[in-house]
Amino acid sequence: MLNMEIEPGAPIFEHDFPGHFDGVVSFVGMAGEWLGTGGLCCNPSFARRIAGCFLMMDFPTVDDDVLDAIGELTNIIIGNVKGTIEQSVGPMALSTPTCIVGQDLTARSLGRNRWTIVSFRCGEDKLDVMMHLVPRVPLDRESESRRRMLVDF
Amino acid sequence: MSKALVVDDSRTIRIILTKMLTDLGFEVCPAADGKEALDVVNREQGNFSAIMADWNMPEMNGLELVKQLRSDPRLSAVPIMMITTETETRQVMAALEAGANEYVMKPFSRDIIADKLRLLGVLE
Repeated sequence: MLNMEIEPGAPIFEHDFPGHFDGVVSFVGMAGEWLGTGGLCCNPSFARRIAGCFLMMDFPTVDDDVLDAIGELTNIIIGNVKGTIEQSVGPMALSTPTCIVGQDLTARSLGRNRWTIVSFRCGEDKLDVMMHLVPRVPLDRESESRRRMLVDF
Repeated sequence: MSKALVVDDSRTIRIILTKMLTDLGFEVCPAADGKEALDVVNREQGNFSAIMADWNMPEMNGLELVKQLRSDPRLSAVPIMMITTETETRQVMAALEAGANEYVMKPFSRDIIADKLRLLGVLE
């Protein structure tokens, strides 16, 4: 859909959310027997370029259409990763993406989680794809039966 | 000219599909969600050759939309194609049991869309 040549880098692993951004970042949540967050990050110039490839038009600024395009790209990439790992971790639901643009952004994800980050190079531009997943903590039996009652209700 | 209904909460996907289907010779009616899709169906009096719908949409998801579309006698024979990232078998089966005819994974190309439409007998 994008017709871009990209080169994946080696995955890196970081504890705590890699929280400093300068550009466009998009998140989507995943929930099932495992819980997590997936996201993309790139600079504004590459975001405009990606949107331009998607929609075959030029974007002089990061506007709502650019954010929608990055959100959709997040949905596609993380959605496909989800589809692959569901074979191991069971079915998960995917939330609708949230896309943010700004300078000197700092973000934080609750808990101390191990993030997997893969950078994809496209010429001088870079797109980071990041994800963390943790198993849903099983409740004790009494809490679990209470939870099931609420679910059935 | 054949008419296609495209339902997706992503403006990006609506634009991409509109361009692809227009190139394939369709007149395209876009809708941003299930409720708007049903309004468009009524406005166009159900006169569609094909319907393409996303799965994950707010207010009315794709599965519920397919059920509503299939309950409309004007649309009982119109091919419905789900466009989505969902691969989970139960989701796929639920969509097909609800009345969807085909399933296309994102990302997709114009050739894939054209091939699927030919399989459905909508495109020569």
